[in-house]
Amino acid sequence: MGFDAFHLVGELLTQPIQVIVGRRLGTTFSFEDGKTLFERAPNKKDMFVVEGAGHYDLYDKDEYVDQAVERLDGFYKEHLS
Amino acid sequence: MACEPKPVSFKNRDLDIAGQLRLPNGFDDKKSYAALVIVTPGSSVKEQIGAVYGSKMADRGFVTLTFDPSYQGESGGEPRDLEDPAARVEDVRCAVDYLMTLPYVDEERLGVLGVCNGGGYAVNAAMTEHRFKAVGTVVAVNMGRAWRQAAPSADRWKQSAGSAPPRRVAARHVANPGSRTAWTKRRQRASPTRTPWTRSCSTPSADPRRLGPTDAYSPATAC
Repeated sequence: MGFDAFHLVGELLTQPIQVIVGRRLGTTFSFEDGKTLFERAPNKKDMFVVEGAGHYDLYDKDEYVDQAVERLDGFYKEHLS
Repeated sequence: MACEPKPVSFKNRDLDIAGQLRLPNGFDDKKSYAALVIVTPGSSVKEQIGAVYGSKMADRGFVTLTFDPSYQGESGGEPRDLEDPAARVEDVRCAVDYLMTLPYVDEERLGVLGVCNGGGYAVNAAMTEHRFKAVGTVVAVNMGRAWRQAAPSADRWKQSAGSAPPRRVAARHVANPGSRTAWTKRRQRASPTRTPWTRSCSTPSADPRRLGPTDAYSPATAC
C-alpha cells in the first residue's frame, strides 16, 4: 500500500528507458502509468504506443507482442552494444 | 526458436528462486552475450509472460533470465502467493547476481525488461542497480498506485490497520510458541463477539508478550 514503483525516478533513474504501452485504455491503467513513468524519466527515453492493443494483448498475442519485441530489440541493441 | 529453457536456481536471502535461462540460437559459450532480466507481472508464473518475452528476446540474440518471484510459483517462501514489492525488487537484484556468475554474460551489457507490475519493479530496481545499462517496460504498472486506487481513501487506513492483528498474532506465536492459543482464548472469554485479534480500550495492555511497535497499527491504540 505504501509502495511507489516510480518514487525518485526523476532523481535516480540514470539509464535510458523504453516505455511501451497499449493504445486501448483499460482497468489496469498501464497506459496512464506508462505515461507518468515516461514524463518523470530524466534521461534518454522513448515511449512507443502499440495501436489497437489492450493491456493483456501485450502479454501473449503475437500480433502486438511482436511489435513490442521489435522496438525493444532495437533499443537494447543500441544501448547494450 | 531459441533453445529450450534451462531451469536455474538462485537465492534471494534464504529463499530459493526458480528461474528459466534461455540462450540464443547458435550459442557458443566461448563468446560474450548481452543479457536481459525479464520481470514478470503479478500473479503470473515464469512459464507465461516471462517465457513469451524471454523466448522472443533470446531469438533476437540475448541471453534471458526470467523467474518466479519470492513466495510464488516454484520459488520458495511463506506465506505462499504473497506479492511483496520489497522482495520483488530484491529478486531483480539477485537475478543480476546470478547472471554475473555466467562466464558468457557480458557484465557491461545487461538490461532489464519488466511487464505489468514487473515493469514497475524493474524501474524501481534500476534506479539503484547500475549493473543495468538499459531499462525497458511493457504495459508497466505501479503496484502501489494500483493498490491505493483499488481502496477508496476512507478504507485505506482500515486496510493497513487490518494487516497488523494477524501479523501480531504470528509474531507472538514465533516468539512464544503455544502462547497464541492461550492468548486467543483469553480474548474470546473477555469478549466473545469480538474477533480474537481486536483489542478494546479496556483490555489490559500489560501482556508481557506484547510487541509494542506492531500495536501502533492497531485501531484500538487510538483510543
